[in-house]
Amino acid sequence: MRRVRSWRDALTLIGFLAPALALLGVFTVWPAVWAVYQSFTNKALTGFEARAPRFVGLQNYARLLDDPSFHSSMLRTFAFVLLSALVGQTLFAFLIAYLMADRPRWRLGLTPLFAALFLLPLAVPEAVAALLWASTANGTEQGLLNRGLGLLGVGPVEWLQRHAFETVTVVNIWRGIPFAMVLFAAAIESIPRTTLEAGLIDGASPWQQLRRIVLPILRPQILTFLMLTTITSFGIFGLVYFLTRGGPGNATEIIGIYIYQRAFAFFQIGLGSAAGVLLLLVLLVLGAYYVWLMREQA
Amino acid sequence: MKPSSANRWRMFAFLVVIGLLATACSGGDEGGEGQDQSGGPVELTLMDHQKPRVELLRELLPKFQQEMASKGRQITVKLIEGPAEDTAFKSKLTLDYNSGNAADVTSIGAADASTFAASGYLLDLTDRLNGWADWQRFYQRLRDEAVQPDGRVYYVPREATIMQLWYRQDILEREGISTEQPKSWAELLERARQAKQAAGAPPLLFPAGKQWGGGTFGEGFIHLMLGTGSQLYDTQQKKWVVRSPGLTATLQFYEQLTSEGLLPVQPLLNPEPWVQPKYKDFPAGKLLIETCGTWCWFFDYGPNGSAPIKDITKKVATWNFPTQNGDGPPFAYGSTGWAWAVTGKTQHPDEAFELVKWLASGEFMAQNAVTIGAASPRDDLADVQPYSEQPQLLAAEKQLNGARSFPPPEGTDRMQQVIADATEAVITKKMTGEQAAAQLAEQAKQLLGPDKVLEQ
Repeated sequence: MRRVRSWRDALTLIGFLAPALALLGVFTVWPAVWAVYQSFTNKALTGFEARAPRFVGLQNYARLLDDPSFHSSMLRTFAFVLLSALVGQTLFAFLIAYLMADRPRWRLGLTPLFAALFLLPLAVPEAVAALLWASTANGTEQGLLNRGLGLLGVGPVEWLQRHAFETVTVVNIWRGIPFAMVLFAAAIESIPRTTLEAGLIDGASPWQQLRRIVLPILRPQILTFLMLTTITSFGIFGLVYFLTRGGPGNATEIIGIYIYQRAFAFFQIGLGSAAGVLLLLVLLVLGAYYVWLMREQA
Repeated sequence: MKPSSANRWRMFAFLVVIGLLATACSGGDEGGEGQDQSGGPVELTLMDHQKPRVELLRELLPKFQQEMASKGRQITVKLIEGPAEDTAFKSKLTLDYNSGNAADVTSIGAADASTFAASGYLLDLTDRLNGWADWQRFYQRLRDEAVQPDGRVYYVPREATIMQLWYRQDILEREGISTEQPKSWAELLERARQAKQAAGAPPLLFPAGKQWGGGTFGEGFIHLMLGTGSQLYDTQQKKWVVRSPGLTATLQFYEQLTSEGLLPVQPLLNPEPWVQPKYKDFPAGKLLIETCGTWCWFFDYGPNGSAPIKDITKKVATWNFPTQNGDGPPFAYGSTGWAWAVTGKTQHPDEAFELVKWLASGEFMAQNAVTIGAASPRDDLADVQPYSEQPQLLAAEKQLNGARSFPPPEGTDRMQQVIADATEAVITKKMTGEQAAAQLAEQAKQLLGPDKVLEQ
């Protein structure tokens, strides 16, 4: 790596970095700083506070920490991220990628076809994906899932009414699999074939190959994916909002919906910002933990 | 001599600076459409929502432009369509107002007027209305309701809404259930119990819970609360009454409906909670009694409505809302539904008011009332076609003077929120009516501020 030795070097460096830094600054850092500022005010979009917002210190934070809906929303979000992203997406995507990978003594037929099928959810826009699932999980006999159950003489089941949380969890697994699969497939393909062959020669069973060779080698990629999916899943809003709007009751009110409701349905920008800042803190802690794990690995 | 590379850059920078200065100086002419002061052409923006309303505007607005042109005023109107759903439309309006980008004239729910006015978003129309002879043609009670706590008027009623209990007359009569006007909540409950036996399903719908949005308050809760004799807002002290016997009784009524299986709870917890009970179960005769307004004759159950009921006038009839103990006469709820308002930041207040006057008169108002199923907020529309040909709407208009209503004070949006929470806690059996009333008082205190609430 070359050191910066002259003004010319510095200017070149700044010239290349400036556009990206400016975009990050304007669209990421500044809104975050602004949200932190707003979280200390009683800013609202309606009422007296809309005309004259004032500094309220930690009042919004105190309210949130005292609000059972906020607690349950956070807990629900942790469960949602754990089940759908950390377990569901990671496990299924790895399994699919591993089965489709070309390895010594293992080659699955029609891999391109399967890959295309599994990648479909990635190609569908979020709103369309939600509509698709709204139709699939329709609680009447016309819903696709219920038609299937009907053939077995079961149902109909009101998926989005009686099993809303489970349904949106499955939808998020479905939605997240393609990205994870692509990442894992590329990682598995990069494992030297000779390493796997050596394992085979030493008599490693398929399970031992996976556990003793593949997983340890892929640990950095798995950790990277876990970090990415944790961050994106905590921020999920549209997919769940379009399907259930956080209902029935509060059954699917994950933190993204909680923040939206406070800020844009009840117009309490200060409170919504405070919830957003708390979420940011949680993500920073989780992000730092993942980075620490990756450094440990290195 | 060939300029050096550094000189080329200097020249380029110089030209950029000159260009920027020129742009900045010419920026002073922005809002060039605002030539109204000199009588030049003006383009107004108008925002409304929902297809029937927007299509009517699209069809009739050219007439306004022609009318203005005949008076020598060149005013064009750009129509902007907002989100169809009421809650989403309100969010859009609020964000537009807050960012200073609202249309010159917008349709607003009268229930939101006080909040928007208190936020400083609306143009004070008081003096202009006082100078408009037609203003006196609006029903006195609607004019009174339009006066905000600061004594000013910020909107012109677009339509009057009469809300009542709608029931399936054909089915109740067939099953031998009385269709006499119930006079108390107890009588209504008894009627609902009989209807449940006949229909085999929860027969009575009072909107409740969070999913229905503002409708939980405006289409359900308030009709019960107004029958209790307790105040929800103390107009003398200008404070919300967040704890009262009537409020507790209202939540206990929801509790009773739930515990006896008279209320279809599950649909109320879904997104778009009205779809199943109003658009499927009521037309199918599974839901037999519900709260509804004049719009239901057209918007919901009319031939072109969301869920048409054939021969609706033979199958459906209305009751007024009974009072809690039957000690007062049953009543209809009558108030301004949607209204026209001018944004406080408009560059063209006079032209915008011209448009509001046109929208609130004659042909447009008559067509609007029929299109959306509303009673006229004016007393001189009964002979104007096509409104004059709608007996249900004319009958509803006659109820207006004897109706009860709740002119929404500032903070209504927050009370709507806590009432939605409280009713949801009751219908999901997480709380009793009494417990929900306590929670409501506490939440309201937090949301509105302790100095804006009182307990009785």
